[in-house]
Amino acid sequence: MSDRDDRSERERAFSLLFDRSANAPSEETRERLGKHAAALGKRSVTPLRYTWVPALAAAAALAYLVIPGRHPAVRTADSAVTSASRPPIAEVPNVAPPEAPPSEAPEAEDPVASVLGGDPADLEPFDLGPLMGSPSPHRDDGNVAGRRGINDVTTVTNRQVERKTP
Amino acid sequence: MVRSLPLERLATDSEGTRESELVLRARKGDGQAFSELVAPYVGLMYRIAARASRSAALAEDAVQETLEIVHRGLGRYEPGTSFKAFVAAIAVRRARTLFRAEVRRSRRELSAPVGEAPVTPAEWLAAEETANRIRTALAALPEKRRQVALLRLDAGLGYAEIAAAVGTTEGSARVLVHHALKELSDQLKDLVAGVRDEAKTSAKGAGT
Repeated sequence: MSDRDDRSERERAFSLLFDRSANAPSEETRERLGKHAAALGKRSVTPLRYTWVPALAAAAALAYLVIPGRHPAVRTADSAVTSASRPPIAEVPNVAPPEAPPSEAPEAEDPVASVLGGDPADLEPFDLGPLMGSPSPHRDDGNVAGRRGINDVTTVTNRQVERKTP
Repeated sequence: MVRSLPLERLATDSEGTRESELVLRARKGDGQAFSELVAPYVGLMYRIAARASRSAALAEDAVQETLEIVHRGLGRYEPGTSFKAFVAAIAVRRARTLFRAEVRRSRRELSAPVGEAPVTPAEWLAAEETANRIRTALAALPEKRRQVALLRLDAGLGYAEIAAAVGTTEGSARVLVHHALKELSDQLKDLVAGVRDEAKTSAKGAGT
């Protein structure tokens, strides 16, 4: 070692002192340590990328959860988690107070009702009747006579039948 | 977890190439390759661990743990750089725990000495006393200064390797080593003076 040669006198004295008081392992100890090293060496070494990639992913996930405002808060019934990520009101200056709720709040629209209560044509979007030449059942210009004929059919009771019979 | 070491490309000789090959094989689970790779540095790891702890058993345990950390860290070792600095950096970080435990334990009990027994009882006592005083002085240093002192005096690293191992510049490494030695000198004046006198006497003897 090149810079080992330009030692000061004090350092040389210390080197001598340390060398004299140093301990070397006995042959038995060396042998044991050698066996230990050989046993250790049989284990496979985990490549570095397998160490830092999961660590990086974990850190990114943690940062995503901890840093507020980076993601929409999860709304739950007991919002213990969301309150932590939501900035407190006191820390947000110049925020307009929330508007008063309307006196008659519109009813919450039931998605099922909105679908079922829509235009009847929406319920049968694949009615191919007009395309196939037959009039649509939902329009007045179609098959009026047919529907009238069906409607003109009257039921004849047994008594009426008996009266007609001589 | 051991952080990645931005080691400079220092080892460009055939030894470094051989180490790089062993690293690649060890990464694939070749136990023999890993054993060959770390064998030259077992003494270094043990020396650093024993510097921090008086217990031979604890020092050996620490080396085993250091080996495990080195093995796990092979994925982040950059082939072509100083593997010695890589190992030494892990060893001195592991020694930190030992220093702490030793400071606590030295207040409670006296323990068995570490390593092989010196030749005579007088030498054993002298070596043990010196080692204990150095250990105490090192334990009193700030963490980074203690690390660079161990890397310089026990691991024998150059400033560039120390800088890479502790994650600083070479100039800062020099300053850290300077401050560490100054603080150690203040605590170990008599020992350093004795070693200097011996060195001067031996130099005179060699000259005449």
